[in-house]
Amino acid sequence: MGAGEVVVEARNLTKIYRDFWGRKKVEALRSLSMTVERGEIFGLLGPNGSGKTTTIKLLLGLLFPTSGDALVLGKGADDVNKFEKIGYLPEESYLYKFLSAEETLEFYGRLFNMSRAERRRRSAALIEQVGLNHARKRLVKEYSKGMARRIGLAQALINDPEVVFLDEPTSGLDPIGTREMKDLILDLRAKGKTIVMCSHLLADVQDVCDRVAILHQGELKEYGRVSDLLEIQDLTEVRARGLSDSAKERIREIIAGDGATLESMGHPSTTLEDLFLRIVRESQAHPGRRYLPERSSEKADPASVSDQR
Amino acid sequence: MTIEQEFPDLTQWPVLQGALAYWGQTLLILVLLGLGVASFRDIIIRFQDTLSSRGFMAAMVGLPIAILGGILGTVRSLAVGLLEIVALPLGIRRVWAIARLAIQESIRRRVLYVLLLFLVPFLFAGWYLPKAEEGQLLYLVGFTNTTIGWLLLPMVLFVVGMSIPNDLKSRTIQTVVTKPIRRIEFIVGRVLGFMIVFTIVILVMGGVSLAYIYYQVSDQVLRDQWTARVPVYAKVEDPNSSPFYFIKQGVAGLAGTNVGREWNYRSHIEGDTPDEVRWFFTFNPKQFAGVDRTKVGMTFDVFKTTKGNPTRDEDESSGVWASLDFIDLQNPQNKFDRAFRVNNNRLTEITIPTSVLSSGQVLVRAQCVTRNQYIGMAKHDLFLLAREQSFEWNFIKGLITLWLKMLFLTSVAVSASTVLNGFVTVIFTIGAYVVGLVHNFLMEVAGGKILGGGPIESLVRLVTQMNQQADIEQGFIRSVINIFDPILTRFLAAVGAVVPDLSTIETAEYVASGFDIPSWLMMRNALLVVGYVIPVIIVGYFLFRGRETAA
Ligand SMILES: Nc1ncnc2c1ncn2[C@@H]1O[C@H](COP(=O)(O)OP(=O)(O)OP(=O)(O)O)[C@@H](O)[C@H]1O
Ligand SMILES: [Mg+2]
Repeated sequence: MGAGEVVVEARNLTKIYRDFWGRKKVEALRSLSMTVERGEIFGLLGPNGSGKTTTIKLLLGLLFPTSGDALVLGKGADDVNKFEKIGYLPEESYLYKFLSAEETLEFYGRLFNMSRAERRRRSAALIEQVGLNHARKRLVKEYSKGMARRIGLAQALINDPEVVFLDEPTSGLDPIGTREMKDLILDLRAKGKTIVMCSHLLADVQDVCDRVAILHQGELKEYGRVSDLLEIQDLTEVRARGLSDSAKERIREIIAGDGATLESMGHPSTTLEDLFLRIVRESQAHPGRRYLPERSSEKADPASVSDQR
Repeated sequence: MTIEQEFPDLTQWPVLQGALAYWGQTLLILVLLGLGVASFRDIIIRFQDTLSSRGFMAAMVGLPIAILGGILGTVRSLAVGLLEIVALPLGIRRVWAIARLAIQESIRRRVLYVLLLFLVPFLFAGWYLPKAEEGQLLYLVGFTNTTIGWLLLPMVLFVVGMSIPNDLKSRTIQTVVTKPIRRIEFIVGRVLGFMIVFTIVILVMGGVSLAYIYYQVSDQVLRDQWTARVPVYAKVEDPNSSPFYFIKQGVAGLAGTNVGREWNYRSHIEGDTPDEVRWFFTFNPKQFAGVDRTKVGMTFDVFKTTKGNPTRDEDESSGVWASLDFIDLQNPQNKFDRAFRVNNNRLTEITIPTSVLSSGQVLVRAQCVTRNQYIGMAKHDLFLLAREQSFEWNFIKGLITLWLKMLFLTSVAVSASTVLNGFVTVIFTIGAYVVGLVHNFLMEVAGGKILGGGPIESLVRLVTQMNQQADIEQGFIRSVINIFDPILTRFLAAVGAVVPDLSTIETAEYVASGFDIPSWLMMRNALLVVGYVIPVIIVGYFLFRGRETAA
């Protein structure tokens, strides 16, 4: 891992949801340890119900950990000052329906003790940026899902935060919106912000994230740089269109002549998707085990499919 | 209107100081109690965690650490909490943001339509207006105050009580508490916002009411009763001597002759004897400045030993007569005396020259003139009427009392709703309100002063239709009563101790009967309510801090 400044840290974070009587309902997160460094885009991946949202809520102090610590900017749960530098876009846009877009940003701006002029300036710029200029005076309750999402994002950025938590940022957005959101995330990174996002849309994550943690049923399964995770050093992939049979034969010969072995030749699938599916399947086969990329023995494992080695 | 009970005059600094000290003491006990409960909870959680992860032995070994950790953790969070409370003024903009939100919510959710609902009863109120002049103001002031009160109550309950639970349910709270806002700012902001809405509502409703009353009452009422008289009661500076006493057969005492009236509020003196009653007045003479003559009001009881109506109007010489001597204590030459006929249990007014009051220290002696008749008097039965205040301002003071009640309910509802869901909050707040209203009765039950025993015993008597004084036989029921009644009684006493006596803050009667609401009463009410509201908000704050906002 790099030597950057750690801005988000989970230490043995465990969350057990309990019912009113303190009885255990779900163990949503089991002993998660991870760090996010300044200036990177960190992705939390995992199937539905794997504990992504729970992790973010624990980091933000919306939930209290059963054990372990959640630190953002080095500060724990009961220090509200850290929120001066944090932005949060929840899973769905939880906004006051009786306010208009402008009033919404006005309200959140006040919570940051911003002066009137600054509030005006920030909110006008953000409404412009998220493309809601035409609907700035309309009540949020009349907004479509994507529009609500956009104003939710504007709300998260009102204070020009250093660390931004985005829970499924692209959900509800149209393809253009999705593209814009991704550009915006990259743009934030370019400005030196740190982004923690969670998603199960792998393409989105692959496009923007520097590092990811993959969760499955509350356990950390894989954790590292996206490029490292996906790169298999000794593997070469050949992709071509309209290759004739004789050409394919010649390529096989060249490979054999070089002393290498041809594993397969076919239609490769998205690699993050591969990794993801493999982890999920393997976790189901061996619950409770951290996924280990045992590269040499993998061939023998019938559970790993579409392996290109 | 009779004043039976006297409250300490909180406008006097030593009295106020004592009250504040008592309040601080109570608050401290509350804090320690909360600290104990919170630590205990923390310790249990720590213990359970080790128990589930590392087994019983480890948990037992780790118990001292858990206890220490629990206490330290709680003390720490208390300290952080207190710091945030002290720092509240720094977050005034955030408080205002939340308050504005509450106001916007009330307006956009059309809560203010209640104002229209308010007008409905007025369409019918005129039907029941008493013809007799005496009852009109009483009726109208009572009616408007009750209407405002009853319309505000559901508003407080449903708008305020549902507000935070709605935030939690719609999860909007999650985008708020992830901003640099302290929970105390959130709670205070909510209370502030709703109170602004209620203030507007009360002012509008009050204004409409006042205009309505003005146009409904007859001209004569406007002339005679549209005022706020300011009675000055007997008082001495020395707390060890009484400003009011009897002299019976040459001996001073706090009671006169007992004529066998059931209500022993008043004591009597016999007519045509040297027996007398004395009142000592100490007051600021400025209150009487500017007029030549000053009114003196009296409400005496007449007890007759001869037949006939002692107070027949037609016959000047009939009736029971009393004589009053006013003596300036600084200058005994400056005095005034006068005899007059007593109205039985109704207000009698006479006028005296204001000059006799010029020093601010006056002795008043009363004797009964008519042979074989008795006059009953109490401390508050004779008062000097200082310069009158305006009815309108008095009416507004009455509304302030209502406002204080709303403040109490609003803070209870806001604080309760930080941990309870909307429905339970509403029930809880109604409960607190009802307990506040029947406080007196509750304390009597708790103190064992009610005939028929404690709660369960009374219930048994009710169900079996048993006489209140008959003994319940030994046996199962008696044992149940013996075991549970004391527990329940303690419980009631505890409940009574944490809820203010809301029945004593009532002031509508003053307004209706044309008496100025005394400033000490206003002050006491304000202190009583604020003294409750502050700890209620603090408790709400700690509860809110201790809860997950995303569960
Ligand atoms: N308030 C709650 N009470 C009880 N269980 C909960 C609660 N919130 C979440 N859970 C459970 O915790 C687990 C993790 O949920 P979480 O919301 O973190 O998943 P997620 O990874 O965000 O899923 P998704 O992709 O669907 O958003 C799930 O089993 C869920 O049922
Ligand atoms: Mg989620």
